[in-house]
Amino acid sequence: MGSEVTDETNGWQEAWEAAENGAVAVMDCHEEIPCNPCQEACPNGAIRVEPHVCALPRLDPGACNGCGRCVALCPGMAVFLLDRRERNGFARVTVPYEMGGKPVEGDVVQVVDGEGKALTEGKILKVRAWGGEAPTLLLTVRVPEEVALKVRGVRYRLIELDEGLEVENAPPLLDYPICRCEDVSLQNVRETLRSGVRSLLTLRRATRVGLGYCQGLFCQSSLREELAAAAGREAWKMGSFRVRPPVRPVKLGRLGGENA
Amino acid sequence: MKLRRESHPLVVVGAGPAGLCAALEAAEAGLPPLVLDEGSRGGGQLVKQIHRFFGSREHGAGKRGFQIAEELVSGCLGKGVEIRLGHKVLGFFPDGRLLVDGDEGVFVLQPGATILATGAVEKSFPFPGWTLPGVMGAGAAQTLVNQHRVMPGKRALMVGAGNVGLIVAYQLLQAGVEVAGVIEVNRAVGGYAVHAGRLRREGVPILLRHRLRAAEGKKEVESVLVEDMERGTWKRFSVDTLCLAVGMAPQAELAAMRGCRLVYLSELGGFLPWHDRAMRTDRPGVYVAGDLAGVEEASVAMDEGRLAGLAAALDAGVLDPGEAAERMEEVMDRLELLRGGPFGEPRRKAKERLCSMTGLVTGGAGRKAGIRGRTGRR
Amino acid sequence: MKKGKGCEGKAPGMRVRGHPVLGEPPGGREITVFLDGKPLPAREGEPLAAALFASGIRVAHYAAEGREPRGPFCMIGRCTECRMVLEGKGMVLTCLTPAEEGMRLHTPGRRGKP
Repeated sequence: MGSEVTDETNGWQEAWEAAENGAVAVMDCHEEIPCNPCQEACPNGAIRVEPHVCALPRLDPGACNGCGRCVALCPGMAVFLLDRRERNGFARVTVPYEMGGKPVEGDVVQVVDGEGKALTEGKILKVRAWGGEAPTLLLTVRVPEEVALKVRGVRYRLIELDEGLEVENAPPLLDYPICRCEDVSLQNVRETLRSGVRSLLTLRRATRVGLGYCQGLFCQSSLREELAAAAGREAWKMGSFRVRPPVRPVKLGRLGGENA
Repeated sequence: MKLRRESHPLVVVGAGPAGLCAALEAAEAGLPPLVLDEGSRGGGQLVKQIHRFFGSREHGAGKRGFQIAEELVSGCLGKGVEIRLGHKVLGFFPDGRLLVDGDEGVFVLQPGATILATGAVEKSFPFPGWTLPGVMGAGAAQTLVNQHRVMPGKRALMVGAGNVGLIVAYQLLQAGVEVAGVIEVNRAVGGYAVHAGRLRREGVPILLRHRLRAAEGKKEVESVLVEDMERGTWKRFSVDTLCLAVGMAPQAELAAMRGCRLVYLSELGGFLPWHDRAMRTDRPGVYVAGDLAGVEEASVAMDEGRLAGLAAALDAGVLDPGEAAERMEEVMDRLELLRGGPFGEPRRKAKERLCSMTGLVTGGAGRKAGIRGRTGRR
Repeated sequence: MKKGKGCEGKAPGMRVRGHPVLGEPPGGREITVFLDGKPLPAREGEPLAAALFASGIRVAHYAAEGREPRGPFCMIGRCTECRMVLEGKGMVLTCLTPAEEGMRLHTPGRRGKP
């Protein structure tokens, strides 16, 4: 409700009041990230991202005509429309939508908050699309005014949250390969390190790590960490495998000039 | 070994946002390059990005990644850039020649100058069960659903709440894959709050201080064990797919093979080629741009590409120095702003440390500037 | 452990349909490839690995003398875990090899099989 709105929430108080006269944008954008499509989207110049691209957007609710272009084009899907014209305890909220379900007007959906919890059920009053060849849908739902500012999305079904089932006793961790290509186990590498090996190249000679198809691309950083732990040094100082051509698999015949 | 030979005044390796923007700038300056890419479509990682992009107008912000890719490719073709897809660069030798594998066979390419825009590779780490089918990089899952339009499985768990993990988890939902949750060892979400918000409102829990312990299954992933680090308890998630989004590292093999000096900057993803503000490496005629020059946003990659293209054109003598300086200044100012804010700040500082060194970084001077370095060629 | 959450059984129909942003997938010609002798539907031009995923098949080969099943990990030709034997071509990376009518794929390394 209006009482929950503070000035810190990016002009929501003004938006809440302006919404009595029709749809107005509410911006749920609180991090300084390099982004300003909302400013570009607004045909009325109501949104300013100033003085630079990382600044938070500022909305002039008086200049906002509620067209919803910023709602569709915000990459964070963090702009909504609020419309309190009805003045009967209900508000219309417009949210961006890019999930399945092919929404049509009249569908009854779950209206959810920022945590995905259902606030209420609501009927979709309006479906619009904006934003080029692969548009974003703008869904307008009618909700009780007191939850209007909490609305962050709609869902066709509420998925039962599965936080995982607790495991009684932690099972023992088995040995596993550190080098996928040559199938060299972590234990094998650690044993080799215990024997005093302190360089990536010697480790490779001793165990064949990094000699397979991927040429150490996938195991090199893990090997560096194992070496660093054994040597008591920083991982980045443990060197790298020398890069040799070809860096991509190629049939030998092709290197000989064949093209098959 | 008798291989065909070819030469070109400017070669760009990688047709992602950085490589294509470099090509555009160089072409505009009168030096249309030859662009090589191993993929079947131009645009690099943009091809599989279906969310709207951050940044500003210069970076196609508000448009979806694959749309930006199409625009960049057609922009390049319109300016006389030759893009050869399905071409793998197998080697980049200290004498400056490239070994290329394409549909015309393997050939040796002698470039006048080379812009490396080879991007980044997803990091991974070993854990019990990590070799089971169904365990994959988040990027692999994204490629499957958005590019090849098939699901990697029915129900997935995402490891890592950085932007990649959050975005791919959302895109798995869009494709019809259930997402059981996103686990993150840190106390806070690493990615943007808006990405976390989009996911939470779909009912996907983001479990902080949770550590991946094992993937289980006979032939494929059937469940995943996770440790709740606060309570010291373990949980088992019933999922058939486990996606790893634990960061990216610059793909610096070609730069290393060429002999470019590599430096280690953890804020930028690990080892990357040393470069100046105009994206020149310590090897003459070799430029870098995009994630190879430090893992950052696509918008940054585009502007770095523009800088590399301008620098290559300037050094080749086709661009008036005054004009080049003016354009570069404009792009550098924009880059400075893109790296503003709390997310960009560590990367801005790391880049500053890197670029504050002029010419070849020597060991002692590098250490003074907090740069950990080693030469790529040993 | 909860059952019926889609973790057992490999139902077909793993293709993405009615995508809210991308719409329906581009219609490649329906073709047939063969996996270990059995027919498998595919779309012409899609990577073989994608055709396998579409049918819920995720094991590409067996490592460690047949003990360890492996499947695609990176889907961009780096990890080489998607490698399989394609008749007439030898070992290929299925994530990069476009499907063509009648291609015959084999799962290498399975214990007791060549």
